[in-house]
Amino acid sequence: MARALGGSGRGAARQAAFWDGQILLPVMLLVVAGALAVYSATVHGPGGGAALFWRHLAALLVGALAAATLAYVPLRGLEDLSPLFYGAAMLLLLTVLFAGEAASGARRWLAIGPLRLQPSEPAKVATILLLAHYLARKRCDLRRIGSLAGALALIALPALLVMQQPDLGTALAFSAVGLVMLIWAGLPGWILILLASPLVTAGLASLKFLIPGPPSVRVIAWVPYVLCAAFLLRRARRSWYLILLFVLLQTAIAIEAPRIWEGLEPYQQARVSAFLYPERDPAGSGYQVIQSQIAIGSGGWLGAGFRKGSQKALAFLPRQHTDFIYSVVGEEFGFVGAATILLLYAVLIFRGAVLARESRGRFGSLVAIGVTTLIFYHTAVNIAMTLGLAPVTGLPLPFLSFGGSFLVTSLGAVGLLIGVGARRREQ
Amino acid sequence: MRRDGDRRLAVFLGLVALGFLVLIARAAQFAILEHSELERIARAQQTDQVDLPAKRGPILDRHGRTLSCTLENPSLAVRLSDPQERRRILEASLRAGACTPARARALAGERNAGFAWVNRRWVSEQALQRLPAGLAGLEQHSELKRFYPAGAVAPQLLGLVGTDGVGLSGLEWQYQEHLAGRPGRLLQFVTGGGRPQNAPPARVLEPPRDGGGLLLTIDQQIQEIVRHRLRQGAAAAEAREAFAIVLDPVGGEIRALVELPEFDPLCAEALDPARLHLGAVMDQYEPGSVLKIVPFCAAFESGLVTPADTFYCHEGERCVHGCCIRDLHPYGFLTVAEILIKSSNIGAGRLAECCGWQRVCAMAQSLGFGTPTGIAFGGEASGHLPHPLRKGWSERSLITMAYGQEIAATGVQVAAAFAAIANGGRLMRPRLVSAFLDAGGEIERRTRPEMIRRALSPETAETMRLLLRDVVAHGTGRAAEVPHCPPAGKTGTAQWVDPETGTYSPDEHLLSFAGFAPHDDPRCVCLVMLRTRADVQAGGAAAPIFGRIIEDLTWILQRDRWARTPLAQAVERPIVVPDVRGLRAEAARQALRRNDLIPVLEGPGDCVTACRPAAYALVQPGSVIKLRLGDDLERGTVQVPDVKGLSLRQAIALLAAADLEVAAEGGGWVVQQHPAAGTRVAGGTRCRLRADAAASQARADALRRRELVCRAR
Repeated sequence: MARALGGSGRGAARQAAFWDGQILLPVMLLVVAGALAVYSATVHGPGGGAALFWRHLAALLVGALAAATLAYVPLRGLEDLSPLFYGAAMLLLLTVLFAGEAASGARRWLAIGPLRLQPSEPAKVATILLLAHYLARKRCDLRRIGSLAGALALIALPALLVMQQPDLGTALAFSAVGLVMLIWAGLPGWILILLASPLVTAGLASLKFLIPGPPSVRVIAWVPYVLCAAFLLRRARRSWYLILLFVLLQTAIAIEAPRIWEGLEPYQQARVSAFLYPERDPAGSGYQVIQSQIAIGSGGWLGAGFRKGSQKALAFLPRQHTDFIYSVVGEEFGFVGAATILLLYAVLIFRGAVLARESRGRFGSLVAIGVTTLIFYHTAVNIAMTLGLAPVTGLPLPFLSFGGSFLVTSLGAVGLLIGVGARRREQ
Repeated sequence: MRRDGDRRLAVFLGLVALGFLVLIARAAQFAILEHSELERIARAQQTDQVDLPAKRGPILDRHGRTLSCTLENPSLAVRLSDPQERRRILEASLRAGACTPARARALAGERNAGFAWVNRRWVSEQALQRLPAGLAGLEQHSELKRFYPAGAVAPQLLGLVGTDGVGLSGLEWQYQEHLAGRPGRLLQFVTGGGRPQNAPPARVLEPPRDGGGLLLTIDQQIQEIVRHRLRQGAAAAEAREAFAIVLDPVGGEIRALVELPEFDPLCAEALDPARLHLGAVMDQYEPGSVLKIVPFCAAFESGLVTPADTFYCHEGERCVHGCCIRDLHPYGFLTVAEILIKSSNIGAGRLAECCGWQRVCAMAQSLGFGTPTGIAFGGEASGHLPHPLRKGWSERSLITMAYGQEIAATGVQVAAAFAAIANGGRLMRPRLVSAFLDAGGEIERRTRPEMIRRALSPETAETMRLLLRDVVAHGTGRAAEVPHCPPAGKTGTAQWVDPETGTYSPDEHLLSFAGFAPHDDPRCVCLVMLRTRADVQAGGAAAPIFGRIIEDLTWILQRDRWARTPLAQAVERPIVVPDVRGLRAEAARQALRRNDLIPVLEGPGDCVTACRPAAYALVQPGSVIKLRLGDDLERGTVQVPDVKGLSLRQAIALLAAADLEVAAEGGGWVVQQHPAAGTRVAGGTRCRLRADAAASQARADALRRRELVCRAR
């Protein structure tokens, strides 16, 4: 800090930039857009009167407080507290499995008095913090199986707990954020191949939607993939034994995977198939995606105008104030509005990644990339879902969607990012 | 490490940028490339076109009394799943009289709970008031329903209307298109759940066009009298079926048509469809002695015999062509008149033989037998007329035909034939509808009396009238005698073909009496037909009913006589001659036709310069208006006609005929027009009209003023 204050002019500039404008501005604009969209979607929508909107505003306020608090806590303090956060979050996740409120087939919420908390949301931040702490330690070397296993276990625990609710989308969010943090921490490419290829193989083997036709067609696609992976492993100078083991493992998965697919819940299968072929069942699972596309499409260049979207008003648009809030924006503010929202996210995420790069402290850098990935993952998957590019996973859109837990979590995460950014010169 | 970090950042940012580019491209694909298609889909799924029901037009009697009309009335429905609650509601509606016991029982026993109609028929105002307030689950739906203010006066003739507002039988079916109107269309917004939504508000794409009305020739008063007398008589004679037709012989207008047994059109759901049948028009039967008029007419028309000529009647039994014909009483020599008076079958046969089959068949045909009368009623039977060239003709056919066997006719045919005798020989087409009304109740089109052919010479008709009078005065029809209104007519007894066995029924026969009154100036033709036990005679059953009907009608017939005006103008109001000066010939002709006037064009040229009677004169409908044609002074321009004081409808018709456009405000009678009447403007110019419903005084003034102007001219 003293060194930072050393340079006269630059010091003042840095002092002023504690609240990073490139993060704060897009977030504030997104929050305003979100409030407008939620207002439009709830005040005339089927979700109730203005009560939902007021709840959204209250969550915003709490989120702003959380962001401010987290931004001011020193990194060392966060690092020290991270095991505590993680432990508390895991406890809540366990509790929700037993005492949670069930809604539409999943136990996701914990009722605390009048509040309903979704513990999987703060668990994301807690996991980022502890994983960053773990990976930032001097003795952590991801080439060693022990360190890698520890890191994977930190990711897998919340992911598996969330999977039990069940909430596949959020569980995948843990994996995606964790994987990016591992790579950022220096995970060698060949280990990545080893980690990722079972998923690829399982996908190729079981998802007949991915590559239609008889199984032989998928085998023809799978064989070059395994050969390519083996070649990459060889280039990383791994032993032939490992490569042989890898190929055998892949073969075993390829044979077993279709049974896993059959083991999926019917609603999960339906979501994947609705994603790939929404027009097959326009009244069923594909309905939401089609209605969302119609909403965005009928918006045109400039949209129908604030609170004038008819897809929204006539309740054709499903879950319009939560998962499909982006379709409301698209219908009422058109392509211009939708693209602006995307641009704001892009600015935020670029800035987050740059901060992660510039951060001298390993912990701060990892937290920054973790938070950035979290926001990017949610944004990309949610918007891709409303645009029919990803299955309907039920992931909310950061800063826009209604939903207190996630709103507070994402604002808190932004607070972390600001805190890291402000202290990026610290070792 | 530093370079490694940069590479990772680059890869991360690259992936992020790629992701966002894909998303933006996809959003652009929907919002820009596929915008119009997706918007079309959005509009299509968000809206729903609903029919706006049009009100069905009423059916009125000739004096405008409502026989059948459509009113908005609540239907009661229950929407409850709880059987206990359901039963409670049903009991309450049953107590209030808003539901029939049968319906309540059926609903109470219904397993499939949910929505069910409790009463979709007529629910009376009192029943609605008696219903206890706050019955949750009992719903009132407003529906357009057919109602019969005059009661079940002519259910078979009027016909039924289904709950969907479609005529099922009778005139309701026949004139479905005219009565039903055209439903409008409403564009309504619906939610994703398919429920109609009020915001945004629904838009009327096309307003409903209410149906037009029918002004019948039926006179409700006469109908009631005939109905009463026929029911009385039929009950006394233990008749299974009966019908009676009363016809105005001059115009062929049917004044009453009663058919027994009747039914209540409000409770006709479980009715046997056979009961909807209008037997007087749709069934043919052997009328018996009533048809003896055929050989008599043929004989007098040919001039071969006179009423004073005599024929030998074989003392009651004559065997000819292998079959024996009998009379009720044996007669020796009878004059032609006596043959009719005593209703001798043998005598009628001799008379027919004397005329020959050509004359008898031609006369039967001429009187309308064997072909449908063309009364505008669906399913009219044509009857059957034997002819030597057709199958079924035998040597004795001519003789049996002479007393009404082997020949089949409908009630309407018999009544029309008697009407021809009554009116001096003109066979008029029987009519049921005297005018078509538009949705506003204005006369759209009148039906006109239509002479099918001259069936008899006036002299023959006169002779027949006298002879038929004698039948009532001295012969078999004595029971039909009425003191103040002496009728003429003929009895008839015929065997009845049982449709179940296809042979003559041994227990039942058909009795009829056809006639008219008063005999010297007939104003009403009446046919009474009964199917009774075989031991009742026509003179004893049908004739008294005829007599009672005529007796009751005497005063009504006299009343019509006081008010009598030239043919078919009895109930018509004078109308104003529209100002068609300046119009092209064709337009003027159409304008006059539309106003029930008959245009006659005179002179060269293609533009009306003058008309006589003058414009605005009051004339009777059907009057001839002479139009003088000349050259149009200014081609392409038209003179704005004066429409002040006319009804908006007339004004619009007149302006449209003059090739002018109309913009009207208000409704009722035109009080202002712009440009002023008489100005010459280009064709297609828009005329602004202001109409006022309260301007009847202004209208009367305007009419009076014009009349004065016309007189002054």
